[in-house]
Amino acid sequence: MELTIFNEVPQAFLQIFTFTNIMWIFLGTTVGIVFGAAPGLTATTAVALFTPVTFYMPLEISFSFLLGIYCGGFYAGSIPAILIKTPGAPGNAATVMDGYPMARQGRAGDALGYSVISSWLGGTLSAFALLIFAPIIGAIALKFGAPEYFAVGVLGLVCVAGVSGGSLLKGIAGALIGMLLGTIGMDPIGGFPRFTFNSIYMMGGIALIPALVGLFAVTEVLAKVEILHLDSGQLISKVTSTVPDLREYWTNKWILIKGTIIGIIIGAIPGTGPTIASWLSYNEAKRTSEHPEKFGTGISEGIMASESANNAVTGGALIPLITLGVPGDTVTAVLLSALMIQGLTPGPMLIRERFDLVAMLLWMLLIANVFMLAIGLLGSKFFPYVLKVRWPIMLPLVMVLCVTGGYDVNSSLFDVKMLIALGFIGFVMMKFGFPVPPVVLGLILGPIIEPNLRRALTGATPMVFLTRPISLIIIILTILSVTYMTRKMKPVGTKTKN
Amino acid sequence: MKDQDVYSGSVLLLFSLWGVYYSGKLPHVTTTQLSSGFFPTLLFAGLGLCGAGLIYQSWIRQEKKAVPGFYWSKISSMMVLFIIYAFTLELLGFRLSTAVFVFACMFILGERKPINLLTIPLVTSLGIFYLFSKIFRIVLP
Repeated sequence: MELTIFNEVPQAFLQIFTFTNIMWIFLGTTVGIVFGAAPGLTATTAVALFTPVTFYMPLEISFSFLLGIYCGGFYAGSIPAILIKTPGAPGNAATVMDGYPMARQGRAGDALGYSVISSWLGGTLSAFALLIFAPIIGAIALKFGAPEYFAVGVLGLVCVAGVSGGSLLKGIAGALIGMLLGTIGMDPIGGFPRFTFNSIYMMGGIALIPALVGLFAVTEVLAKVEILHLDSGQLISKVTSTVPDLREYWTNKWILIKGTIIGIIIGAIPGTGPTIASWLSYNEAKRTSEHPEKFGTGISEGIMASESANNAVTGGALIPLITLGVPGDTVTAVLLSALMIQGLTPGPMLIRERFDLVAMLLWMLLIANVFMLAIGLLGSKFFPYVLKVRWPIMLPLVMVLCVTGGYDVNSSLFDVKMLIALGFIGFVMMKFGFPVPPVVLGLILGPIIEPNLRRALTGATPMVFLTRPISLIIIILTILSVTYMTRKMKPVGTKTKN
Repeated sequence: MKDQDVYSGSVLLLFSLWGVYYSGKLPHVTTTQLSSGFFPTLLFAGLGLCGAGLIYQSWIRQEKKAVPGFYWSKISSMMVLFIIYAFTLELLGFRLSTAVFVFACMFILGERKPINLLTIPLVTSLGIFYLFSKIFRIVLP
C-alpha cells in the first residue's frame, strides 16, 4: 500500500494541477464562501444545488468544483458567526462564543484571521488523514459481508438521528421516513413494484439528486421566506486588520492539533458532523485552559478550537464515504450521489481499484484549502457586503437553481414536482421539530441497509449479526450510542417522582 | 394548550397503520427469501413506535410544546408559484417561464424597485440559460 501511495500521489498531482481544474477549485471555493457566509444558506445547500450541473463533467472537474464548495462553505459559516452573531451553519455555532465578542471589541479582522488560518490547518491536515486512513479502513472493510454493512448503516442512522435535533425519537422517525422513501420503486431483490401507485414515474424510485435538492435547498428557502419580514437588518462589525499575530498560533499549537484530531475522528464516524466536533473541541480547549474563565469573552483560543475542528471534518467525513459508501455528514451524503452519477460506487473495492481517486481528492482538498486561506485573508474586508444580501433577489435565484438542478439530471418534470413536494414536506417536518438530515441519510442508507439485511437473513436467523465479530462490535457501538443519546436527551419538563 | 408532539405522533401512528397494512399485501418472491414487504413493514412498525413514544412523552411532559404557526400567505404564494413554474417550464420554455417566475417571486417577497423588477428576471433567466446550455452543456426546455 505504501508503494501505491508513493506512486499515485505524484501522478494525481500532475492530473489535478491543470489550469482548468485549478480554476474550478477556485470557482467552487468562492461559491462555497458566498453560500456559507449568507445566513440561511449552507455548504450543504450549495453542494446540493451544484451537484446536478456536474452530471456531464469529467470526474476531476466535477470533484474539483464540489470539494471547493465543501471547504469554502464549511469555513465561511464562521463569517456571519463573527460579524453578526449568526452562525452560517450549526458547525460554526461554537465560533460565536469568542468570535463575536472579539469583533465587538473592534478586532473583527483578527477574529476572521484566526478563523481562516485555523480552518486551513484543520482542513489541510484532515486531507492527509484521508490519504493515510482510507486505505487502512478500506482493507478492514474488505472483510465486510452483508451483516456488517447492515450494522454500519444502522450505526450511521442512529448517530445522525441523535445529533441533528433535540429529540432522539424525532430523529429516528426522520431516518425511518427517509428509508421508506428509499423503498419506493422496484424491490431490489424481488423485483416487485412497491408504493408506486401504478405510476410509471415512480417505478424507478425517487431520484436522489432532486430529493436532496428538495429536502435541503427548498426547505431552507421556505424557512427563509417565512421569516423574511422579521429580517430588519443587523449590526455588522467593521473589518479592519486581517492578519493576526502568527506567534499566537505557536502558543496555541496544542489547541489546534487537538481540534484537528477531534474533527477528523468525529467526521469519520458515519452520520455525525461538524457541530459535535466544534463543540467538543471548544469544550476540550476550555477544560484544559489555564484561564477557562476568559472563554466567551473574545479570546483567540475559542475560535481556533472551534474552527480547526469544524474544517477537519471535511477530510474525516470523506473516509467512511470512500471506504464504506456511508456518508460522514450531510455534505458527503450529497457528494455520494455526485460520485454515483459519475458511475462510481464508493466502498472497499473503490479504494482497491481506484486509489488514484483518493490521491486526487487529497490534492483537490489541499488546493481548495489554499484558495480558502487566500480568499479568507485577502477578501475579509468585503465579507460585510456578502452579509448584506438582498433576500427578495437572492431567494428567487436559489429557487430557479433548485428547479434547474432537479430537472437536468433526468430531464424530467416529474423530478421537479417531486423536489417541490419533498421540499414542502421537509419544511413542515422542520416546523414540527423533525430534523431533515436523518431523512436524507435514511434515503441514502435505506437502499444499502435493506438488501444487506435481507441477504443476511436469507437462510439464517437474526443471530447472524451477533456471531460475527465485526458486526457484533458495530451493534454494541450502536446500542451504546442509543443509550448515551437517550440519557443526554431526556425530555425537559418530564414529571419526576419526589 | 395542545402539544405539537400529539399531532405529529398521531400522524405517524396513522401513517404506520396504513403502511403496515399496505406492506403486508406485497408479494413473496420464493419460499426461502423474505417478502418485498418485510423491510417496509419493519420501518412502518418503527415509525408507529416513534409516534406512540412522542404521544407518551407529550403526556408526561409538564411544559407543552406549542403547535407551530405557519406564515401561510407567503408560504402558499411561493408554493403556488413554484408549482406553476414547474408546469409551465416545458410549455413556455425555460427563459420565459423563469423570467415570469423570478419577477413574481421578487414582487411577493417585497421587492418594489422597478429597475430591479425589470432587469433581474431578464438577466437571471438569460444568464442561467446561457450558463447551463453553453458552459455546462445541459439541455433546458
